[in-house]
Amino acid sequence: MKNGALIFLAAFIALGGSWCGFVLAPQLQLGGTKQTAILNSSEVYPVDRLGEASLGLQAYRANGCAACHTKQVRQDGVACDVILVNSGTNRLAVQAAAQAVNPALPGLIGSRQTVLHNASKAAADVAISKISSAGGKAEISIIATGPDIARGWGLRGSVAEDFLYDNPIQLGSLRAGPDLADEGARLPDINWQLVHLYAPRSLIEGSVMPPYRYLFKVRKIGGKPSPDALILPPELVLAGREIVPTPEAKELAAYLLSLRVDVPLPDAPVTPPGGSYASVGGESQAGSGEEAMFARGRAVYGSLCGLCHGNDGLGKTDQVPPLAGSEWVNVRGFQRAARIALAGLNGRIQAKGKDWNLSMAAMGAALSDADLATVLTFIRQSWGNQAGAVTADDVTAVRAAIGARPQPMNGDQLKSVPE
Amino acid sequence: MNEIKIPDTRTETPDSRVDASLRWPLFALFGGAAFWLMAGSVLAMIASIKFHAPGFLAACPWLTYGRVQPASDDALLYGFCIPAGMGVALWLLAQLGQTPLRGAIVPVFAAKLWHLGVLVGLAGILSGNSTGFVWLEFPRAASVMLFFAYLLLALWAMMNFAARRERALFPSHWFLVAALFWFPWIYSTANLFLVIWPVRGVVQFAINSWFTNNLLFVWLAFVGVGAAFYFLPKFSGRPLQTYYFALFVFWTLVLFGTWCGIPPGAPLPAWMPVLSSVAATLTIVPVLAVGVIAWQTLCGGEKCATRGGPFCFIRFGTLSFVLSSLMLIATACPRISRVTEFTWFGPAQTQLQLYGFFAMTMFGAVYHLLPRVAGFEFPFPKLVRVHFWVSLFGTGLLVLPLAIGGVEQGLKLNHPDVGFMDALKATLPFLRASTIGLMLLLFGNLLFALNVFGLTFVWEKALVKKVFAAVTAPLNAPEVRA
Repeated sequence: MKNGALIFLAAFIALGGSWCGFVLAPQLQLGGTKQTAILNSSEVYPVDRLGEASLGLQAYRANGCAACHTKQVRQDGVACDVILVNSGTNRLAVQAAAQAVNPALPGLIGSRQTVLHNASKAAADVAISKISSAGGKAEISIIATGPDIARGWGLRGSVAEDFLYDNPIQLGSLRAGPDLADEGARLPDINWQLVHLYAPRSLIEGSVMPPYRYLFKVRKIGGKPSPDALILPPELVLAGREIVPTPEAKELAAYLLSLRVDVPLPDAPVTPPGGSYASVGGESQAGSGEEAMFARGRAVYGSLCGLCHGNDGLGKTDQVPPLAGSEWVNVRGFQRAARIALAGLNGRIQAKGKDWNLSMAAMGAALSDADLATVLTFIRQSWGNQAGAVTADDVTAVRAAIGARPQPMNGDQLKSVPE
Repeated sequence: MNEIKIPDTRTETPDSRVDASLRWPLFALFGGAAFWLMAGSVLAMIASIKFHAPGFLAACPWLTYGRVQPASDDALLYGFCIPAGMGVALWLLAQLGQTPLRGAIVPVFAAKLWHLGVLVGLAGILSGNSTGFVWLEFPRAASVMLFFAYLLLALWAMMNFAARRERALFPSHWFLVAALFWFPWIYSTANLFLVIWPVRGVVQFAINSWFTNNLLFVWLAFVGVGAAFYFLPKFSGRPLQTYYFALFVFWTLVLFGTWCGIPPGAPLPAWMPVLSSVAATLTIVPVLAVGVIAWQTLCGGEKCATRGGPFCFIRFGTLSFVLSSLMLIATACPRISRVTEFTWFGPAQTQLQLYGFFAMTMFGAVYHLLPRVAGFEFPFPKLVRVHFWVSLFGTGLLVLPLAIGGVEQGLKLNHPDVGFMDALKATLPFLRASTIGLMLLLFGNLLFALNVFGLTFVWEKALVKKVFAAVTAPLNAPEVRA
C-alpha cells in the first residue's frame, strides 16, 4: 500500500469535516447570540438567573436531575385562532361575515368571541379580512400545537434562545419523570416543590422519584421555629420536630421556579392567552378599568392556571377537574375558591359529580392579592360561570384569615369553611 | 520487560515474541477493565433497583439515582470499553505488523494512569462534581488524566505501527489507526469547549451530541469492527469477503457516521438535525455492509479448531453492531423519533451498542489473545461458554424490555389524554424486567473477571517462582569445580 500517507490524510480531512460542521459552524452561527426582544413587548429575553436560582442550576447538575427529566418542550406546529375583538357599528354585517367564515358559529355574537379555531394562517388571514371589511375588528391568536403543549408542559416549543444562560446546558434525553421546562409556571409554589423533593409520594401517588432526604435537616423545634421549615402533609409531621431545607434544596427549588417557556419570540411566536405577554409576579399594568382587570385576569390565568385547567376551563379528563360550571367556583361566595388558590389542594375532593385525588400547588406566593383577585374574577365569570367579582381586599382578608403558612386542604376540610 | 522469560510450552515464533512483549501492558489494561466492568454492573444494579423501590439507598447522596446512573454508564464506557479496546488495538497492531512492542513500561504506566483517572472521575460524579454533560461527566482532573494516558497509549501503538516488519496494510489497520487519533481529537474538543472554556447556550448541546455520537458510535465501531475484521477471517479460515468491501465500509463510516447524533427534535437551528438525519440514513450503507461482510466471511468457511467461545462472542458482537446501529438510524428518522425520543428506547439502543456489540467483541478478543499473551491457559476455560450464554440472555433481557417499554411509553406520551403517571406506570414492568437482564450481566461479568484475575494470579505466581528460583539458584557448577 504505497498511498498510505495520502489515504490517512484524506481520512483526517473527512473526520475533520464533521468537526467543522457540528463544532465550528454552530459556534459561528450561535456563539455570539444576544438577548432577543420579546414579541409585542419592550422587554428582552432571556434574563440571566440571579442568586439562589442561578446556584440551583448547579444543584440540578450535581444531583443528576437530567438523568430522568428533560427540559425541552417539543412543538409540532402552529394553529391560528381568530378572535373577534370588536363588532363595530354594524353588528349584523360582522355576524354574517363571521358566519361566512365559520358556519358552525352560533347566531348571536358577543365580544371576544372565537370565530375560527385551529385554522391555518391563510384561513385566518381570509377571516380577518372578511370581518374587517364588514367593519368589525378581529385578531389572530397563535397557538402552538403538539402533545407536550397539550399536556401543559409549556406554551410553545423550546428554542435555542431559552438556553442562552444555561451553563452547563441540561436538556436531558429521557422522560422517566415529566418535562421540567415550564415547571415554574405549572407549580410556582416553593413549599410544594420542597415537600415534593422531601417526600415525592406524599404529593404524587405512585411516583418513582427518589426522596431527597439528604437535602433536608430534621431539627427539634426550639423556642423559635425556623421560618423555612416545610409545611408538611399531616402524615409526615414529626411531633416536636421540623424539617428544614438545606441551602442546596432552597437553591434547587428556586431554580425550578425560574423555569418557564411562555415567552413569545420572533422565531417561536405564540399568543399568550389574554392576548399579550404578562410577566406574572410583576406589577399589574392593566389599569383599573373592569375590561382591563378582566384582560389581566385572562393573561394570568393563561400563563399559570390554563396549563392544567385548559384555556376552555374544562380541565383534563381524569386528571384535572374542570372550572367551568364547578360547584367550587361558580357559587356566590368566593371563600373556598380563594383558599384553594392561596393554599393549594391536597387529597380527595368531589367536583362536578366526580371524585378527584389532587395535588395542586399553592399560588399564594407566586401571585399578588391584586392578580389573584383578577384571576379569580376571570374564572368566576368565564365559560358560562356567572359569579360575582372578587376584589383585592377580599383576597387580602382571606390571606389574613388562613395565616402566613397555610396547609393545602382536601375537599372535606374545604367544606367546613363557609361559602 | 520482555527479558522476563516465562516457561512456555509453545515453540518460540515471531508471534509469541510479539505476545510476550505485550504481556505487562495488556494485563494492566485488561485487569483494570475487568474491575471497572464489575463496578459498573454493581452501580447499574443499584440504579435499576431504585425503580422497584425509590427509597432504596436514597438517604445517601453518593448513591442517588442521578449520580449512580451516569457513573454506571461511564464505568462501562471509560472503565471497560476504551481500555479493553486499546489493549486489543495494541495487540492487533503488533500482531499484524509482526513487531514486538518496545518500551512496554510506558503503556503500563499509561494504563495505570487511565484507570486512576477513571477512579477519580467516578468519585467525582458520585460526590456531585459531575460536569453535567452526557458521556462527559468526569470532572476536569479525571479528563486530563484520561487524555494523557490515551495519548501515551496511542503514541506507543503508532510507533509500533510505524516500525512494523510486515508492511502490508490490512482493513483492520485502517479502522484502528483512525480510532487511535480520533479519540484525542473529539475528547479534547469536547472538554475544551464544554468544561474549560464553555461556549454558550445550545452550542454546548451541539458539541455534546457530536462528541457522544463520535465516541459511542464511530470510535466503538472503528475498534470493534476493526477487531471483528481480524477475528472473523481467522476463526472461519476464509479471507475477509472482501478487502474492498471493508475499505468501502471504512470510508462510508468516516464520511456519514461522523455526522449523526443531533436528535431531530433538538432546539437547534433546523439545518443541524436535518443534516444529521440525512447522514444517519446514509449510514445504513456501512452498517449493512458490515453485516454482509461478516455473513460472506463466515458462510462456507470450514469448521476449524479455533472456533469456540471467542468466536461466539465476536459473531454475536457483529450481529449486535448491525442491530444497534439500525436502532440508532431509526431514531434519527423524524417520524420514528417522535415516538422514541425521550423514552427508554434510547438507553436500550445505547446498552445494545456498548454491551451487546462492543463489550461482547472485546470479551471474544480477550478470551482469544490473553492466554497467548500470558503463556498460560485460563484457569476456568469452561466458564467462557457459560459467560457467553449468560451475557447473551442478559443483553436480550436488558435491551428488549427497555426497547418495547420505550415504544409503549412514547406512544402513550404522544397522547395528551393519557396522564403522565399512567404512561410512567406502563413502563415500570419493562424496567423491572430489565433488572433481571442486569443481574445476568453482572453474573457474566463476574465470570469474566474471575478468569482474567485468575490468569493474572497464575502468571504472577509463575513470575514470583521464577524470580525466587533465580535468586536462590545454586552457584554455577564451573565455579564450584574450580
